[in-house]
Amino acid sequence: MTKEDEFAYRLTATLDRGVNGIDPATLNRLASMRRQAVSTQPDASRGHHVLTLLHRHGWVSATLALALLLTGWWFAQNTQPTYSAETDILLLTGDLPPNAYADKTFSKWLAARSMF
Amino acid sequence: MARSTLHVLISLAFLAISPPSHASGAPLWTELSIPQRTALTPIAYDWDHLPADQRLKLLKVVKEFSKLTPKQQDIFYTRLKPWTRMTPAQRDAARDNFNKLQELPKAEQNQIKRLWMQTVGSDSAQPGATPGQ
Repeated sequence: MTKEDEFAYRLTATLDRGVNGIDPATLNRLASMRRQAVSTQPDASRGHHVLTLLHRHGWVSATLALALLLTGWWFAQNTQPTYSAETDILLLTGDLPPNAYADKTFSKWLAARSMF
Repeated sequence: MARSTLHVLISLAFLAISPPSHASGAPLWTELSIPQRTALTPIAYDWDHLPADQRLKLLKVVKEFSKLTPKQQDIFYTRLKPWTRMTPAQRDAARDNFNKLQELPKAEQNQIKRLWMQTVGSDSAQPGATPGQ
C-alpha cells in the first residue's frame, strides 16, 4: 500500500465516522473558522440582496426597465446633429436653390463624383 | 431604500418624457420684432402654422438677414417660402448634400452645379418647384 492509498483510506474512514467522531475542540475551531470565512464576503452578500429585491418585487424591475428605455429615448432625441443656421442662410442665398441639393439626381452625382 | 430608489426612477422617467426645450416657446407672428417680420415677410401667413422647432430655426437664420446684400436678400425672399414647404427630410438632405459639396475642390463643386443647372435646374430651379426627393 502506497502513502497515497493509506491517506485515502484514513480520510474515507474519518468521513465515514461523520461529525460525531470529531472531538468538541476541533468542532469549535471549525465553527469559528466558518464564521470568519462567511464574515469576509460582504460584496457577495450585498449583490445577493439586490438580486433578491429585484426578484421579489417585480415592479422594481419593470420600473428600472422603463426608466432605462425612456432615458435611451431621451438621449436619442437630444443627440441629433447640431443645427447650423449658417448652412441654411447659405442654402437660401447661394448659387443653387435648396431644392437642388435635396434632388435625388444631385445626390447621385455627388456620390459618383469620380466621373467628373 | 426601495422607496428612495423608486423616487429616483420616477424622476428619471419624468425627465425622459418631458419635451426637449427647443421644441417649445416659438413666438407667433404678432410677437416678432419688426426686423424679424421684415425678413420673414414671404411667409407671414404661414408663420403661425409652422412647427415650433422650424420657427425657432428660422429665427436663427433671420438674424443674418441684415448682413446680406440687397441681391442676396432678393434671393432669400424668393427661396424662403419653397424652403419652408419642403419636408424636414428634404431640408436635412439639402443641408447634408450642401455640406458634402463644400468638402469637394472648388472646380468639382462648380462642375456639379453647372451640370445640375444645365439638366435638371432649368425646370426645378424655379421658385415653388417641387424637389425631386
